Amino acid sequence: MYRKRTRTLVYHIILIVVSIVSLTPVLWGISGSLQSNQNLFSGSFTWVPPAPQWHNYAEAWHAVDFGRDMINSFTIAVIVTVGCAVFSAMAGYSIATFRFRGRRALFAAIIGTLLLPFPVILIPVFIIAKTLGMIDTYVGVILPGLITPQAVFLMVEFFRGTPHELLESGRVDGASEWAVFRRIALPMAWPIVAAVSVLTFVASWNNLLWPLVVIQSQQLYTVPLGLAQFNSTNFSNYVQILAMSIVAILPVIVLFVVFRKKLVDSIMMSGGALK
Amino acid sequence: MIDPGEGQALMSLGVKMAAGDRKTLAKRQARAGVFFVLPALLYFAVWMFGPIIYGIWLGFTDTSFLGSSKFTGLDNYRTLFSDPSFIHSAVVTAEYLVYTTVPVMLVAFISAYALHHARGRISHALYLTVIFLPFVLPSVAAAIIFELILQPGGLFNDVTRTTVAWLTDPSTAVISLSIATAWGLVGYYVVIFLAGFQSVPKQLIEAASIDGSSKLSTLFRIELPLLRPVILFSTVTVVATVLTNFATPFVMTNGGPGDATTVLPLLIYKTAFQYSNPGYASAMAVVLFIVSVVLTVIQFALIRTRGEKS
Repeated sequence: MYRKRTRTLVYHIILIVVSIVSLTPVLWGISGSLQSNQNLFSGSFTWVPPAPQWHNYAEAWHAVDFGRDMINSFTIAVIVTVGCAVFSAMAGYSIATFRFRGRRALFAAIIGTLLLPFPVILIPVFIIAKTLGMIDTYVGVILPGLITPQAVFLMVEFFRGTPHELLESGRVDGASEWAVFRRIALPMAWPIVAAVSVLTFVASWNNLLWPLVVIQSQQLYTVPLGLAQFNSTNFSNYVQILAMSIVAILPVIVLFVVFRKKLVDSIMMSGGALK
Repeated sequence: MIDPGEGQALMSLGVKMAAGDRKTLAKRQARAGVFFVLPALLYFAVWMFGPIIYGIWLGFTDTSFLGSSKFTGLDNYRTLFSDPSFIHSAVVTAEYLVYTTVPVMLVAFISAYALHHARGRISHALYLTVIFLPFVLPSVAAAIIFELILQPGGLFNDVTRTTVAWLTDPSTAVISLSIATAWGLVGYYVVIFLAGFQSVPKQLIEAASIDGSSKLSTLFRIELPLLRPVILFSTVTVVATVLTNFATPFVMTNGGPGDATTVLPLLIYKTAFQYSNPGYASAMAVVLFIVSVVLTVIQFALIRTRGEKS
């Protein structure tokens, strides 16, 4: 009994330490965003700022038209999320339930790109986008990253588990294949669609490399791009950079708090897919 | 897992059907299947498979973004393997991989073990939420925060009681990137490993404890062997993720001091878009591609073993 208690104590100590390490940088960022530049690296740094400098946020917001960046990022992320959810659900449904030539090869090829680092195809994708006249356009930012292999993979895994009898009953009733998908299969898939959507939204919101090469005019700047540029040109203005970073983090935290369980479950599913 | 469901419904229905009907049904199914997969197929053809092949071709050329392109055979590769900046970058990338992957795996495994064995439902959800959070944060924002934390006189110096200028000292700059990267990745793998621990059959653990096996020997004799595929799978994924990471080095050090942290993705970007040499950069990308192919082959082998078992 005594040994068991010691063990539980050790587990909790480990978890508390890891939790503290996970949270500290974010808390420091919030605290830092309310300090003054002189204060931040002096010995007089305190976790709770004695006089919170809220104006850092207002100044950062106007310094680079951060509102515009937020709207751009939001628009792009929403379109990518909806597009990815629809097309990956359709593809996953198809690969999991229909028999057609090349189905296995296609699925193998798609999951073959799961581990492909984007820098590998950065240059050819840029040249293709350029040829198609997509440089410095919304379409150019959105289209090349629309469907992720992860999304297709998760959808296939999910639809493999759906009972075929249910779909068949729809077909027997004379419903079209699209109606079977739309009214029977898709509603069942809601939890996985939600999880995939959150993952896609977050990935789009956080993406830097592709927007960096495809966007040229500031009108199209996304949050990570605006943040990275501001950071490289105004690095000594620490507190404003921190304020911007915190604003960039907030939408993701809200999403995360709302969808945490679905997100964790879907990742557990992809981890569980190994046994 | 590679093998999708064979349409059991089709077969069960087929019993009641004439051969002709079965043929039409199969045809209808095939048509519907192609219809549903078509958008994804087109997408992957244009933005994934096509670019991979095109990129390999570009590696054999001297290309400019302005339109000119000349086939130069293996010239790029000859230059590449005697180019000190490329070789240096490969070494830095390897260091970055090791410094990131090892701590991520260790911390995630230990945390997941503790989380799985510590009782308490509320604390469980709370720990999981907090530990997972860094994974969803934008890496640009995280990199900025870490860049400031690691400044001389910053939080990291305070906590560790050191005076190292982490980011500007070439000997610690890569470690700095790894700290920030690992911080952002751990939570994801805690969740993966937790799924692994939960999938270990309870009877096995109970039988072991009845036989007088200690927690530690249960871990090493039962849990660890059963989790081996998950651990391997995760290692491969972490390596691939680190190889993809552009934002952290770009924001925190932009490759500096000097070229101390110019990892491959950064070198590819700079060679193509700052030094305007996309052909040469493509040859570098092909090297990165070969590494990712090796990782993918390992991953497929892992997925297949699982498929055979089930």
